[in-house]
Amino acid sequence: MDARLTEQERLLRFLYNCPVGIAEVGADGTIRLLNALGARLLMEAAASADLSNLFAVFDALEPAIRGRAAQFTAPAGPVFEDLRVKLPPRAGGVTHLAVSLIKLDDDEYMAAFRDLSAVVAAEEELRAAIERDALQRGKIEIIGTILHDIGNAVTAMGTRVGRLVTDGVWPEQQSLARLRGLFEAKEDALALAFPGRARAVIDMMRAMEKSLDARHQDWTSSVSLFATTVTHIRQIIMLQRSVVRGSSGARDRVDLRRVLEDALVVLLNAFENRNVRVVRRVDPATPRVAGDATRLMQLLLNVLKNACESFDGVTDDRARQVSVNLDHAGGEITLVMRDNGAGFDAAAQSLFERGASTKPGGSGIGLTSARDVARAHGGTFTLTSEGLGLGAVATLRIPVHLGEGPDSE
Amino acid sequence: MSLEFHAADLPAALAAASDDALQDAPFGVVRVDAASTVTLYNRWESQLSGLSSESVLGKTFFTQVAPCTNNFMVAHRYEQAGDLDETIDYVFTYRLAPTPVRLRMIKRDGAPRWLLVERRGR
Repeated sequence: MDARLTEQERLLRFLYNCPVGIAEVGADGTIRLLNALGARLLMEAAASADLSNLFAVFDALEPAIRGRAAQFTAPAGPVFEDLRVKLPPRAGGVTHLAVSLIKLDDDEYMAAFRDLSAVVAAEEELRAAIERDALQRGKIEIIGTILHDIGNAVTAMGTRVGRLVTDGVWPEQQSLARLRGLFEAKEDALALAFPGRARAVIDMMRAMEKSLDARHQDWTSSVSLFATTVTHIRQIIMLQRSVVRGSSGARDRVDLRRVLEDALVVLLNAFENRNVRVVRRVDPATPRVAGDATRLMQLLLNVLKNACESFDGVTDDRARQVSVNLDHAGGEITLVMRDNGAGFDAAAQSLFERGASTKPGGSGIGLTSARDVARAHGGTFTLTSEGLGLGAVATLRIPVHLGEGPDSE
Repeated sequence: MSLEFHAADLPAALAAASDDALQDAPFGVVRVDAASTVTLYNRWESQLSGLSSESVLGKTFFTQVAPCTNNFMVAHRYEQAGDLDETIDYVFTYRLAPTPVRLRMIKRDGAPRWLLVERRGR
């Protein structure tokens, strides 16, 4: 504070530098007194450099200011408070003002102006975030509905396929066998009808029977393969549905041995089709962990599926193998999944960055989410490779929490 | 050489003028450096604003002396690259009284910046 100033000068400076724009205004809007911030904000609002009348400044932007002042009949009091006025856009942004008008007496009003631009910007940001969130929810809802419908269709298909599997021998096979038996019993009578060719007729029937049996066998194995595939699809859809519903957070005592077995069963066909041998070594004393079985299942499915599909890039005739090792030591469960598939080079170590994948058409999201799932369980997930063609090693480590000792079923 | 508010060669005349001549100019003369610190505040401006030259020298003009100019219309114009010589109508509020003025804003690279003020009739 400057001690040389008179009291009046200090008062003047106090009002002049007030961090709110203030003006003393007559009943007709004439601006009599105006502080610095008031002048600055009104200059930004005014169409021309004329601040003689408050109502004139705002007529084009917010006519309600003049109107509400005219309608206000009380002897004193707030005419309006924090009325928002958006100023014409200019290069560098839009200014929003909050304008208040208070009647002191018949010919004296006080006006106050604040720059609300930052507040309005924050509000708009929030509104946009809410909209984005709603959009995201909408998408998830649609995915949920689609998965639900597909799930129902697949279930219906599974029921039909299940019936076919249990169908047993075809009636045609039985009829043919009976007919052949009859012909064999009456071979003499048959010989009268087909002199010298009775044996040939019976042999032909045997051949037909054999061919029908082979077709039945082929049909049965196709149907059971079909049934396994349908079951596989159902399991995947169920998993995805629980992910969409947001199963994360549901923490149970999870038996990783069980989860691993289930994952391998789901992928059985995928491994078989690629002629990949799965070697597993599982410590039977592996303790349970506090966790989310669905998400862990999804992690294992992702990782094992990647290991399996990595053989698609292998052209030599190496003995294809995925070895799975579930172990525990020092309060930590370690699951190592090693394949001798295509592997990847150092440049592809960026695999973990969302969006990167070494698979054509892959998104890379699977591996990122694997890391997220591991983290959610207080653990880690790593994926390494010695280089292209040299296979890959995926390692999941999850701590065994206190009170989660060895568990026998 | 006398100083004329509207003269085309005013930027050169200001640069050549002595501080005494600037003090005697028939319009407001505010000279600031690149950091907007006031280095000269002439008599005409001082009389109208009621602020003594001593109380203003060394202060930041757009925030401490005349916050009413701290916007895109005045202060930000000096921050833009290149030379500036522009005259606009504005309203100052001397001793809280709204006062229509004409501002001439001058900036030459490397040289001090000028804010010149003359009153205009209502």
